[in-house]
Amino acid sequence: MNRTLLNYSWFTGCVALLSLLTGCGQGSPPQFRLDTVALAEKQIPAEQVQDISNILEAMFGTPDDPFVLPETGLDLNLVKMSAGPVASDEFGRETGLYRRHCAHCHGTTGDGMGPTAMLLNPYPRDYRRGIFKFKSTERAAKPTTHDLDYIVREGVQGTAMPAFGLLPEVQIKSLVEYVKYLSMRGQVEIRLSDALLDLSEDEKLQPTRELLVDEILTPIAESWSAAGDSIIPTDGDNARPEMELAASIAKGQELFYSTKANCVKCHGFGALGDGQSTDFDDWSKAIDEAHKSLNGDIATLDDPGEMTSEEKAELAQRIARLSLALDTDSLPPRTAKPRNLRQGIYRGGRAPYDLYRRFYAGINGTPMPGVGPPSPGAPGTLTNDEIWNLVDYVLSLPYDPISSPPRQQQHVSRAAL
Amino acid sequence: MIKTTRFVFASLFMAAAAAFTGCGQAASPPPGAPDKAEAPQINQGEETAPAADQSSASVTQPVFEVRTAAADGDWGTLKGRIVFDGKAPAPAPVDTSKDAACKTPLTTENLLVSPDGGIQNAVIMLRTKNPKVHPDYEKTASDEVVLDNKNCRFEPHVQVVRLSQTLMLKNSDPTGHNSNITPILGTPINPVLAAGGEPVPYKFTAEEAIPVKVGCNIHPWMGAYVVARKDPYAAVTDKDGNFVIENLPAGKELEFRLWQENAGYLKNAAFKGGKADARGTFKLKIKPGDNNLGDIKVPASVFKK
Repeated sequence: MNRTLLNYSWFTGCVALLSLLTGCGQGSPPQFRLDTVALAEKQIPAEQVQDISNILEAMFGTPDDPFVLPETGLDLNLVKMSAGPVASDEFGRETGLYRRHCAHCHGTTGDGMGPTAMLLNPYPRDYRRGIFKFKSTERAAKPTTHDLDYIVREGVQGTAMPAFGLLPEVQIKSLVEYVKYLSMRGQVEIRLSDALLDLSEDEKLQPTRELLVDEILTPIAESWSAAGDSIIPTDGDNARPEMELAASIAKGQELFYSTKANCVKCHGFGALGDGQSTDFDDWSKAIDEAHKSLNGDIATLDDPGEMTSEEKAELAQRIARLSLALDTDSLPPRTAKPRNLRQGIYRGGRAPYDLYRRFYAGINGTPMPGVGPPSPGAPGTLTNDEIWNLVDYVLSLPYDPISSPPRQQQHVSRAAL
Repeated sequence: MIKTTRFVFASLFMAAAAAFTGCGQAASPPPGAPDKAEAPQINQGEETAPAADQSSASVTQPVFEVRTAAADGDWGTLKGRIVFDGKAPAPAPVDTSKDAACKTPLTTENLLVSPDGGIQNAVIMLRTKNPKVHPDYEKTASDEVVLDNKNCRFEPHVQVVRLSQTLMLKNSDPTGHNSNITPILGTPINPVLAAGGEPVPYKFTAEEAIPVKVGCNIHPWMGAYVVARKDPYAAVTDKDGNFVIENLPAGKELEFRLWQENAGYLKNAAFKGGKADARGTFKLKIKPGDNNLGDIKVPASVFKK
């Protein structure tokens, strides 16, 4: 014990001394980080990890000096306004907007792991999967520019995401562009690590324009630019039916508890969000699965059976790598909490059409399934009218007398005495 | 002991001093930091580099080449058995008490091994891209393939679906389910499957690097895998670990890959006359007629407990 402590103290002492001697502040500029957990899980060898990093730098630049290929459809000037360190020029034009307003929660890389992330619940969004929860589009589609603009401007109710509506128009535009930039970079990283995973042992990734731009980047960029085509309409065929509110609410309640819509399964009999709640969203699920995989490997090493010493060494190395990645590059997984529907707090917006879209497509990246048509034109689990019945019912829940206890009205009772 | 404590104090003090002076930027670059010298140049000019490997084959290419006439000598069938080399752990019981409608007792399905070692639900797939496809497969090319929710589990647990086929998400249970499919390249979908409702059709639009997981969020223990493929050359092992891939193009060296849900790629899987590499791949020349690989033994070390 003493010995370990002693060694440890020597080590920290040396590190501290070194950093004092080398001086601070003038070091290398911030860098984008790779998703080391995913890379460890996919068992991508170190030299190939370096390849991913190099390719990403060539395609997207660095946090201080971003770059975009024309195929991204991004405006480099807008991206640059948000990139780099916080600064302003002699005309008062500000740059480094992302680091000033966003990075402390969402992280330099947009991995949702800024310094404050651990303290927040829900965690800040990790943009790297290109998955966003609150948007006006079909489940599989990207959010529109307007959707992201709205979130930045209004914030997300019930979370730590504040409203930035007081920033100048062009700055909000720039931040939205930067979020897309970080998101595309993350998506390209995932595609690259998947391409490497698909190689056999003696193959090498060929970083050709054909692979990187035509095959990987262009479809990603196109999905972003085409988001506007996938907006879920809330008028015409999708309009709310002419129906008395009380009748619609009653129908909605029936559906809520039915094995057709199945809302009760997760949101609970009291609609307090206390039903099934042991599942994760996509982000936490990946980390939870990595932990399970690590524990499984450790159990195998503990009881190795007839393993050769070579196999044991390889397994130990795999365990060390994943364990290190999880310790340094992930937040503890949290189960996805089904919303408490009696509070009247709606993260994705409180308007009836906001709720309609949540039910129609579900919430991408989360366990919340959709009850509308899974693809345009296909029959949905619920009809359009039924979705609106549910909207009316859910919007009525906060006003249900049992949702809040009666307020004390002391002066009234005293007068009666 | 006192001496140790002092050391700790001293080092903590120094660490604190370092923290106050701010050292975030001074550390060496993180692992995988870009290496300028090696950074590849992306050609932005008109000319495009030639396709360097199969993985860069354009998506707009025809799904597969169908030959109009097939001589028997052009095709071979691959058989074999995937075997757990060692003592396999027993499946664990699953807690289904969250939903009273889930009455059937269930056990985990991520590693099912028969008494004589055969691994069920392992996958063998052709890795060689754009192979010649036997005309017999044309008959099933636009089939509907069912993924059923029955007794609060998916049936089948692992299956192969061609991009030209339609996966029908079905619910045979008296309770509601949902099918959450999140492919990297294809379209994510998560429809509610009402009890007694119509099956929901789903199409995969691209081959994925690994089989795609299907989950039910209402019953988180439920899981299934779908191998989405352009060509039909993939098979899932039966309860004894046996697989058959019929009518592979003969005469050319083909590359195959082995995968299993618990282990991922089945690295170092060994059979008579060959061994899979670290990514579970091996090369094989298919002879006309039967090709039997016999037992493909997978070392216990690649599986998690």
